[in-house]
Amino acid sequence: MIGWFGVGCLVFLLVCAIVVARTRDLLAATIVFAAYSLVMAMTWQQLRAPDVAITEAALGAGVTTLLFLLAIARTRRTEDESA
Amino acid sequence: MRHLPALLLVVAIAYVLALTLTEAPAFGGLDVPARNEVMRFYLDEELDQAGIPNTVTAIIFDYRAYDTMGEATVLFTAVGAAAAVLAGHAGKLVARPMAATDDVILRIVSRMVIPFVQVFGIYVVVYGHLSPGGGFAGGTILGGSMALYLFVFGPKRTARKIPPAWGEIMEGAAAFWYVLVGLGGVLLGANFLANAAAGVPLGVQGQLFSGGAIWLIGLGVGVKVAATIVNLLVHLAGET
Repeated sequence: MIGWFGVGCLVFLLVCAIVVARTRDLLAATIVFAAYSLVMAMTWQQLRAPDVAITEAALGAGVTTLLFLLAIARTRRTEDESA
Repeated sequence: MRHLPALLLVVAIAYVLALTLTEAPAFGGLDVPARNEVMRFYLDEELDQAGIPNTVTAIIFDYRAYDTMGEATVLFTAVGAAAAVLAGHAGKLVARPMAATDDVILRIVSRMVIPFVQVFGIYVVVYGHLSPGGGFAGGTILGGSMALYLFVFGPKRTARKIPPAWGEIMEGAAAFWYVLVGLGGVLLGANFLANAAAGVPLGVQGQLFSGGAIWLIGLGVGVKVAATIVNLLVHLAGET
């Protein structure tokens, strides 16, 4: 079952998800999303799914972040308000 | 007050969804739907049929190897779509192709970290049948290490270390390798991608070279995923 550590992780995930959706700065959103993925990987580990945890840490926190960063580097850093 | 109908609708839907939650089985309980005869079959029979301790890898690369082949080929679509879209918009992107960073800390730390990350990636690929991980996870770690190199040292130096043609050849060869391993099952007189059923020797349980075709397929998927990530990021980083 989920202990206090797991509950803390889940609350952190919720806060991260809301921040990612609300922030206008795409670079900040990307970094918060990486933190989300890392804590998600810890949650998978807590749920005894180490295979998923490794993939989440590598794909979610690593490659997805790099992909977003590259996209930001080649476009704009902030969300367009008028779009 | 013109939002009132929408608000009422949202509250009503949330109420119905919350009602279904009360009917859901307890978290991790014994009556969850996933705990059925399929799960029991895999946990009971896998060690005899596929001969590896990691049941997840056995399902991905043995029982469901055909689905995994489709998943691995889907990655072609991702790279193809990225290349097609970026080729059409080459002049319209705001920023120029990515340049190398001047940050000394980044350069030195990444130079020290990348070899360890790569060794760990190779370990996760090669030991995917014994410990958590496998082709997808390990290939991602390997590709991530090369992506870090691309980020710190720029597309030009990356192209000198990993010529773009290599990445494409590796990706295609790994997908071809998967099909070849599958055809091996046909040659041995069983189904496509058959492993122990085709008489492939499973080896001694718990050793590095065990599990028959699972090990070969995992290797191919690892190379394929790593090459896909490198190709995708190199396309996105811009002209070399």
